[in-house]
Amino acid sequence: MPDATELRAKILEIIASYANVEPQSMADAKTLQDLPIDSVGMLGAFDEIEEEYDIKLGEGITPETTVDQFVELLQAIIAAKHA
Amino acid sequence: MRKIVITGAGLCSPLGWSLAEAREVFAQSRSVISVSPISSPERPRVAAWVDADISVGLPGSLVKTADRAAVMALQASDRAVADAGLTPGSFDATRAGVFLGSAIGTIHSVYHAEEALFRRGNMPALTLLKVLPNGAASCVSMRHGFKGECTTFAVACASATTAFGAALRQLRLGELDVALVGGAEAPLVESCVLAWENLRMIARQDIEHPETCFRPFAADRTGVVLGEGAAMYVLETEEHARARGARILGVLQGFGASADAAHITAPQQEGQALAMRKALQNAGLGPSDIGYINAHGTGTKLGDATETRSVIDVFGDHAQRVPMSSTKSAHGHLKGASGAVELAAVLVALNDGILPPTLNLNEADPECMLDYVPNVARTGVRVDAVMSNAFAFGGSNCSMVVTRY
Repeated sequence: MPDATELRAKILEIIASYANVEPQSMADAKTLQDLPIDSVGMLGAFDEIEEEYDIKLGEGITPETTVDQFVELLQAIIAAKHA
Repeated sequence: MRKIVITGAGLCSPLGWSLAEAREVFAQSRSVISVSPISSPERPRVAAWVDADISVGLPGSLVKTADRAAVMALQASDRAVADAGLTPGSFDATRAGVFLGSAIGTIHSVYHAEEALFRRGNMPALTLLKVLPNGAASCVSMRHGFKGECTTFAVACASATTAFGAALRQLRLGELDVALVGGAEAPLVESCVLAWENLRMIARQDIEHPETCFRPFAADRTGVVLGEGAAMYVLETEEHARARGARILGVLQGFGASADAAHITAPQQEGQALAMRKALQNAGLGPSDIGYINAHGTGTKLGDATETRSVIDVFGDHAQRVPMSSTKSAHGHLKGASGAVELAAVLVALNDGILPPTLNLNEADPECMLDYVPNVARTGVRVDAVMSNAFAFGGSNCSMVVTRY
């Protein structure tokens, strides 16, 4: 299972690929709404994350969700899947 | 009447990504048909396809929301715009349009979305955006900032040629100064290929010798080899092109269309001949002015024989003298994009004096008795005017006439 650092890097890499930016440029983003990506791009990125880890993100993710919270949520979902 | 000129060409096709690469294939009398990416031991298949990373250099925000055909259209349009030397500010964006043809549009994305539905129990989130039939034209418009008009044409195998006709009209009317025009097709997925196979339209598949499978006008022809790809061109009014010092590749001199109003698959001599006559009339030329015909030539028994009769009907005695080839034997049948990729052959004939051959034409068919430029390209030929035919399922026929500038 990927650790938090690994997961964060992968998530930002996927989001960056929809936003036409380098992942490093998003390092300072606190919440999901701080990321330089529109709603369509975010939908695509969420879908790709689900595909990458064979999971479903479910409800509860909002623009105010912090990137750290998102990583924690993902870790929990992946862990539950492998439990 | 305004003269409409072609000032840029770009491809993302089995022939290559530029007019120069296509010229090499034609000049070498070579086929680019190979083993299909969806060939399997159970279903051995051949196809003409783009064996390269088609997303290179494009923004993820476009590539990831677009069908494979749209991505190829983007690559082709980038190259056409660069080839034309069209830079931002060198044209009025509100008088720049996009006209794009595609027969089966977004089947690639439809297939992969349904595959995901069965595998994951849900459709990919961006499916709707990828399956919109106007997606390719829209992507091209967004990429290059063409704001005057953006239209998609779905006219089966005549889609791209129809797009050229529509662009020609708008440019002549003075509604636009410049247009990106062409076609894109990405049919190489299991469901689409099976659909063609089940219609008994596909040539006998020989994966040991893929380049020999497509045999238009030959006695031993067995049908079509499918292809994928895109080709886009910059069209402008002559005045606009000259004002910015553009190099001119040719003149889109005339266009004609007709409808058979008869049968969903069986081509009709009357309808095809009407489209060719209208194109000649629109171009202000007579049959004897045409020095080369780029045939629709799909390698079907009925199609090739009908096209031959139609050409004899329109061209009379000149039909025996005018060379006519089906370049599909080299690059496969790109369906809705065929008229666009075949315009590359037209421009090579006009500008390089090279008549691309009909490959694999070893055994003459008594019903096909014209000069099809068999097997070997003809070089050093002066051609001033070319006709290009596209005849579609549904009975939609289109012909266009391109002349030397």
